[in-house]
Amino acid sequence: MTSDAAISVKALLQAAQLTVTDEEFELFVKTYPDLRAGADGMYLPEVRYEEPGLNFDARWNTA
Amino acid sequence: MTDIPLTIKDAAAALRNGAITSVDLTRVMLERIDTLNPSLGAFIAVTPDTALAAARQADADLQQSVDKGPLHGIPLGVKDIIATRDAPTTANSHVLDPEWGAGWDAPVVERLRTAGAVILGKTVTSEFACGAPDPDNGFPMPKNPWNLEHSAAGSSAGTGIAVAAGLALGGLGTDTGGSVRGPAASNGHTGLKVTFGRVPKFGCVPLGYSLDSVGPMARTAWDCAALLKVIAGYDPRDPTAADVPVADYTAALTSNIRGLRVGVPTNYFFDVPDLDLEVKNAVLAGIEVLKGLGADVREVHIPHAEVAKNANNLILAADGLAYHRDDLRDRWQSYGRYTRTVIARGAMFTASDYVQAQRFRSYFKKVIASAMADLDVLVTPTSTTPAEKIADMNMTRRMLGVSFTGIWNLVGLPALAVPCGFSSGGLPLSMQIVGKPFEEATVLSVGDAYQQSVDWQLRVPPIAQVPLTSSSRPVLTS
Repeated sequence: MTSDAAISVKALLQAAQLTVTDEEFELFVKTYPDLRAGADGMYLPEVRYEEPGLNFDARWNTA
Repeated sequence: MTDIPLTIKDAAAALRNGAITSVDLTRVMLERIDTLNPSLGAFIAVTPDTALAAARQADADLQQSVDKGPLHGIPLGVKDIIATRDAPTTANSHVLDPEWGAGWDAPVVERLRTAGAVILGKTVTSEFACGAPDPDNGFPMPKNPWNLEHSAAGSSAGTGIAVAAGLALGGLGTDTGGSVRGPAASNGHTGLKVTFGRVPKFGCVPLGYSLDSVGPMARTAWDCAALLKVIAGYDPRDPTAADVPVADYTAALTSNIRGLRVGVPTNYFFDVPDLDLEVKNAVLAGIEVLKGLGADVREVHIPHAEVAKNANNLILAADGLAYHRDDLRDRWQSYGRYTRTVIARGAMFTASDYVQAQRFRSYFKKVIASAMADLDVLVTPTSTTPAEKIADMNMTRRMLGVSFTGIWNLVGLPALAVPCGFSSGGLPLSMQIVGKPFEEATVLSVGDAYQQSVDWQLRVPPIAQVPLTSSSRPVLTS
């Protein structure tokens, strides 16, 4: 039976147009739940009203 | 290595008192590279002609009292993701366009040459400054000079090995999640991850756009200060370079840290199960040395440290995937096996995860500012364990494991890795000194004061204690 992680990983790699080996696919399936938990762990209540740490300057003389 | 100065500071003195010439020093380094590079994998390209020409010029200058400062005539290595005009930049990859960076110097290299430094060549990196050393990708395999079965860490492994084994007196690395500090820790010398924007990164192959930094690697904090003084400063070609005055970093090293407030995080950095006991004890002993020098040591709590590590990894992977996606799609097999999975990890996250990581970053910056409000520096271990065995390299651990370094890239702070002992297996151990934004002078001062009391940073691995041939051994006059 295909795990939820395997389904997600397959879809995410396809969306990124990446073709990996079987061994690499298994590595992603094995690590995906922890990677996902790590990302979910950033959605803290304390962060609710923070601005992202990104800057964009609309002036034309800057990069 | 008995006759040849170990440090930039000593070599600079020897060049000025006539004990050695830059040509002699450069020839010794070139011979050591010839002898040891096949075993150690430190350099991917060596440029003896331009190096010796620069050394001859340095000798002529110094003889005529034209003194460009402590790097004048000093042989250095440059990580192979930084453009240099006299050697190709490969990023240790079969994928990077061979024309990338060809024929010109990155601003940091320009500044080193202007300061009279002798560039020996390009040092080995993990492919594209990420992943892990890969024995199968056709590039030199970096090995730890203290034990060839162990990793030299990455990604700035080549510069780390070169400094530790005396193939160069210092050099440049880059650091996105620990790539200067990891090799400094594993190879047993000093390495500084600078404040984000302190040193221009134009001319470096990017990995994480808002995390990358170019930093000095050398035996001592004083040597790192001398390198930083030259490479720091604004350059308009780097949109993230900060227009902040450059301190006189060597002059700031007074050896006096009496009353300096040192925070020791009680959580995460000292209580994770992955932390090796020998590392922990060596760092705690290092903190005792600082206490003995008059530092005011206090415990501090750093909330959300593990989340910060995850946020750094997420941003690094997402930035990296954006840069590499089309090449990964079209040339997956041309990338090293460790590189491609580390970068492709970015596909596991969503766009909102990326923005949330950047929002967490804003929040965590305030957390750290608050935690350090009454402190000057934090001290932590640099890594959880001594250098791992190459045969034990584990990609799951690499993707998910504990890290004490990337957290400081997330908040952009300066962090110095300083040797603080050796394991029972003979491998170097390291502590990390973290400072406030643009307070490199403070972290270097703490490192320098510590290094006045210990000699871990001056130990030489047995493999590097090779006799030189009589033809190249310089005749010393003092």
